[in-house]
Order: sequence, then C-alpha cells, then structure tokens
Amino acid sequence: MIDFQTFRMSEQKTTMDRILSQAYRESPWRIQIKWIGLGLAVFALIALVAGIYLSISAQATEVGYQISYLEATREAQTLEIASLRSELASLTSASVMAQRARDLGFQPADMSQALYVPVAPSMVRQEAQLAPPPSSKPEPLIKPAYKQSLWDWMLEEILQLRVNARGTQP
Amino acid sequence: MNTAPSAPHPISLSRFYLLGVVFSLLGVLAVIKIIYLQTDARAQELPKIGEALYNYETRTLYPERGEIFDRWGNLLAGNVEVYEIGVALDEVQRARSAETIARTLSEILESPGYAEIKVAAETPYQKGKAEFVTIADFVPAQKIRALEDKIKTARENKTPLNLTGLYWSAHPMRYYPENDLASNVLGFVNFLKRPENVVGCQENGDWCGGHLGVEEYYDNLLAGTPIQVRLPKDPRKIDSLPPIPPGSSLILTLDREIQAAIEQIADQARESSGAEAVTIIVANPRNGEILGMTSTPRYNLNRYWTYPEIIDIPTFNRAISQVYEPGSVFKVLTMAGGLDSGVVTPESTFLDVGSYVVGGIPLHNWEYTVWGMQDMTGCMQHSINACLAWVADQMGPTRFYRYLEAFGIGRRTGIDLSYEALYPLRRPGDTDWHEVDLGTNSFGQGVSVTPIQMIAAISAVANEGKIMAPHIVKAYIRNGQQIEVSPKLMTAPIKAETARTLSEMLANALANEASPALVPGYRLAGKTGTASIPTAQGYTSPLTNASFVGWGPVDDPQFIVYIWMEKPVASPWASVIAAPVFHDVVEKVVTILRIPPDEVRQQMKQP
Repeated sequence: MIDFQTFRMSEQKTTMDRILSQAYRESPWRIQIKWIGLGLAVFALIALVAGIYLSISAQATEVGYQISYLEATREAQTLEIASLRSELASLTSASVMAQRARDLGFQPADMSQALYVPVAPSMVRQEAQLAPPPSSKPEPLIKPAYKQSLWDWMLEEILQLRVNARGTQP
Repeated sequence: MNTAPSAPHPISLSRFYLLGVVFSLLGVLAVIKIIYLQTDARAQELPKIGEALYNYETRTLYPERGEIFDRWGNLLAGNVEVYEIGVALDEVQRARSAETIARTLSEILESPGYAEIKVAAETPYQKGKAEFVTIADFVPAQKIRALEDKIKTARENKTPLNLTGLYWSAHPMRYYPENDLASNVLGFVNFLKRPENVVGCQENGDWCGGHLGVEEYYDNLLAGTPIQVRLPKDPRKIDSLPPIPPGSSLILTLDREIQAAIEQIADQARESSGAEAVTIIVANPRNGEILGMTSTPRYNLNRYWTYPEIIDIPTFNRAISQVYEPGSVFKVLTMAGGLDSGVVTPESTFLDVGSYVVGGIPLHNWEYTVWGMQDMTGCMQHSINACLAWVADQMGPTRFYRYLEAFGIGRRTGIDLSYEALYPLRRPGDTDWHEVDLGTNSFGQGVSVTPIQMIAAISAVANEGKIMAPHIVKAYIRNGQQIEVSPKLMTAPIKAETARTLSEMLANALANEASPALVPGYRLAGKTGTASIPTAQGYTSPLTNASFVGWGPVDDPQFIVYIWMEKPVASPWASVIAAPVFHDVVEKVVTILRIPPDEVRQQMKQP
C-alpha cells in the first residue's frame, strides 16, 4: 500500500516537472531562429573577413602592378632622357656648330681683330657645375610621410588642418 | 510461376574489418609521410627550390654608365636608347606569323634582309634549347618608332599585321656625340658585348667594358656597381626596386674648343709635312690640367670595331703610350739642371769648336756646325750639342741624373689614362750605361720619353720650378654630388728663380732667332728639338722626330704646348716643321682662353 502510494506520488512529480519544464522551455522555432541567426552571423563574419582579405589582396596586387609599371616607365624615361641628352649633344657638337656658324656667314675669330674688354667676374664663362658640391645638404629621397608612424602622421595632418583653417597670410 | 525472393546475403564483417585495416594503414602511411616531409633535410629544400623557381626571379640590374663631359659641360660620351628585336619561336609557329614578321622588319631594318629574318623566325621550336631568336640588336629607337607607326596604321586601316611572337626591348648603348673628337683620350666602351650577355668576360682574357683612355682607366667608376635583386612573381608581393645609383660621371679638364682646334691643326700639319703621325698636348702648367691632347690618327668611337689596328696600344694615343728620343727639347732640362746647380749662369760662355769629347768620344753639333764663343742663351738658341754636353759634364753624372730623376724622367707621370708607357732611364752604375751617355743624354739622345713626360718635366720651367701632376679628370659626379679633383704637386726639381731665368733665356732665344713659333703680341718661351731616329745600325736614318715645346705668356704662363711630328718628309728640321705648328696652336689657344696680348694685359692690370 505504501509502495503504491509512493509510486503515485513519484509519477505525479515527474509529470509536474515535465509540465513545468514545457512551460518554461523556449519554443523550438525560436531555437531554430537563434541557430540560423548565429550561423548567419558566423557566415557574415567569414564573408566580411574574406571580403576584406580579397579587397586588400586586390589593392596590393593593383599597387604591385602599378609599381612594376612605374618602375618600367622610370627605366624607359631614364633611358629616353639619356638618349635625348646625347642627341642634343650630337646636334651641338663642335663640328656641327662650326658648320652651322660657317653657313650663317660667321668666320673663325681672328686674333688680330679681337677686342678685349674688361668684364665683371660674374660675366666670365663658368666651368661646368653639373651637381651640387658635397658640402650642400642632400634633399631626402623619401618623403617624411613614408617614414612616419601613423600617430605622427595624424598629428601632423591635424596641425596642418588647423593651419589651413586659420588661412595663410597673403 | 512466382518464385519467392531470395533471402538477403548475410553481410560479411570480415570484409569491413579488412577495409578498415587498409584505410588505417593508408592513414598511418600518410602520417609517416607527413612526419618525413616535416623532418627530412632534402624535403626541407623543396619549398625553397619551388619558391626560387616559381615565386621569385633573380635579376641583375646594371646601372646607367656615367657620362663624360668636357670642362664646360659639353657631352663627350653619353648613352642612347637602342633595341633588341627577337621572336618567340613557339608563338610564331602557332600563329604562322614568320612571313609577316620577315616582310615587315625587312622594310624597316637595313639588315638582316627578308630571307635571313624568315629563316630565323622559322627556326624549329625546342623547349629549353631554341625558344627565342634575336633577329637584330642595337636597332636605333627611330626604327622602332617606325615599326610601331606601321602597326598602328595597319590597325587603323582594319588590316592588322600578324606579328604575333615579335618582341623588342630597349637597352642603353654608349654613344660619342663628337664622333672622333678627343677619341685618343676617351677610349671607348666595347658596347657590342653587353654586360648581361657576357659572363666572366674579363676572367676569360677577353676585353669588355671600357677600353683604352678614360673609359678604361675609370671603368669601375663609370660602370657603377650592378646589383642583384629578387623579384617576386606574385604581384601582391611586388615592392619598389632598390635605388640603383648610376655610374659616376666625369668632367674632364679638356676644353672642347681647344681640342677641336688642335685636332684640325694636327691633321693639317700631318698632311702638309707628310709626317707619319702628329701629337699635340696643351696643358695648364699651373695645375697640370690637360686642356687638349691629340695624336693622329683618330677614330670614330661609334664605329670602333671598324679599326682592327685599334688594339695596337702605342699608336692609339702616342702622347702617353709611345716613347721616342726627344732630341734637343731635352736640352731645356739639362740647362735647367746646370743653372739650378750653379754650374753655369746665363752669362757663362762656351767656346764651341763643333764638338765636345765625353768618355773619350767626340760629340758633334748638328751638321758639324761651329758657333764659336756663345753664352748660355746662345747655346739654347743655336741648340749647340757640344755646349749642352759640356754643361752636363760640368755637372757630373751624379748631379745630372739626379736632376733628370727629379724632372720625372724614367718614371711614369701617373696621368689618369690607360697604358702610359715608360722607358727606363739608364743611370751610372747600370750595366748598359756608358760614360758617353752623359753627353748624348744632355741633348736628348740615348734617352726615351713620352710626350706627356716631356711636357710635365718642362712645365716646371713654366711654373716657378714646380711640376703639377698632369691629369685629365677635373671633377666627378657621384651620388648627385660633384667632387672636384685637387691639383697635386708632383715634384719641385728646380728653384723658382732658375725657372724664371731659363724662361727668359728661352724667350730671348726665340725672339733672337725670329722663330716662326712666335705669335705677335705675346712673349713666348720655347725650344725646338730635331732628333735622329736610331736604327739597328745607329743613327743612320735620314728621318727625324721633330718636336717643339713652348709656353706663354712668359710673365704669367697660362699654357704649355708640346708638339711631336714623327718622321716628317717635307723637312727634317723642327724649326721649319714643328715651330709653325706651335704658332698655329698658340694663336687658337690665346683666342679660346681669352688671353689678351701682353700690352693689353699690362694695361688691364693698371688701376
């Protein structure tokens, strides 16, 4: 008798627990939505990372190609400049200039006809100075912006903005 | 009649076990392989090889060769853009474009012709062996522009040319805009051997890069330093190339106008005298700068390969590479030594009887002339061998040769040009020196020198007794900076007073002689030199070496000129052949250097 009663009480408790549990459990569709949301969030995150990675890679690739192109252009232009300099020298060579002068009716300077006039030293023909002497400070090849930290660059830009905002003196 | 379906075949578990074992074994093998790949040394090398082969390429970048300018900045040696044209054989064969390529290129290029190009373009493709064929190299940029225009026009006319597989790429080539001007000084670059195509060129005893002259002497400086870079093939990893500093450029001491003038005079003198060669040097005695230097023949450096004799070094620049017995111009050094040592003064007298005995051997004057009583100016004016032999004898061999050594005889001047020659000076004590040599050496016989040695030695007389080291480079440009080369004092063999005295004596000698070397308005000092040419039998040849050295203005020397005419035919005498050449050179030099006549100069000095 006791055993039967105990059994009944136990069964009632279990039923009660189930009812209570069902009353407070999240509904299945909500759980599904939550998982789907979570999945989508993870997917979005992966897509975002992949997107950023692709974008950065694409930009790096583009810059890489630009660098290659610019290097090739620089090389070609260096060669072209040298070539033009040589061509100019050829057009103004001693023999060509002498011939051109003769064609224009000039004659080689005759010592007896030369007239010597004192002139200021600044008017005297200067010897070739094709580059600055070593004592002068060389111009930095790389702009400071490429060597600054991000923080320094930002500070400088802000300072520059303030200066610009104040305007410049005419 | 329907039959009952057969009972399903019982699944044999043993087969599953077998499969399981096989797959497990495969898994274990895979793990073993992974461990092996991670740990084996050879396997470790694999990624590196792969990276080298497929991810990076190593390229050698050659800096642009430095340019060469004269003292006023006129370009004497530069670089031009030329092209290499070639075909990728597999592409040509796939596109069957050989015919069009041959036709198009033959219309633009002078050579090779149609047939040669077609044969080259139809070379069977062999991977690793015959992939690319060069059709032409050193093609001028104008030709490539013409080719590009042709392609563009055809495209616009909707009749595009099938030039698949045809490629062209630019590279620099050495170019000398003045052609043969200063060619003996500049030397040249063996540009037909491009550095990227020549491996171990110098190690193989072949010549590449700069050859002769400044181009060879300063080859390392001009060529710069090639650098090797690893370039990623992945465009994401491409970084800018490291800066490649170009080779240093040189500014020479040469004055283009003086150089052009002396070359023209040398050519005329050679033609009128029938001389085998003419050499002229113009220098500034105050600092050793060479303002002009030429020797015939000259070479168009842009076509250097057309002169097989160019390899013969002594004849390329006789001013530095050819030794000869100078004759009487050497008397300037003997007299300088005699005056400086106090053995003689300008007023010392010598009774000339036509010969003087040294070491038991009589030494005669030219054509056995007898001049009687002469002072030292007279000795120089008449170029009396006997008198100078007497001066050397009075000095004694020790003192005489000490002076010659101080003047740099028997020693290279160290001029910054390749292949400066040297003939050793025989001194007392040497097995091949005899007592009579003291006498013969005093008037420039039995002693061999180069013109550059002579002009350097005699410049001491024009420069207060000091010899400034002769040099050809005035400044060089490296890393964007122009570095001046400071003049260097070589030696000071005689006192300033001696130099001034001897200058006066030589100026008087020229004036007394009414030498054709004189230039109206300018007081010049100078000395002729007519030297017999020794043969195996002695001085038997009727041919001579005619020389002249002179400088001016005497009170403020700004130039010194050395002339050497080898074996002139019109006359053997330097006073007839070389002195007028000196006159012509000085006329040009004073005009180009804007040196007023002495009278005008004195007036301008007055306040």
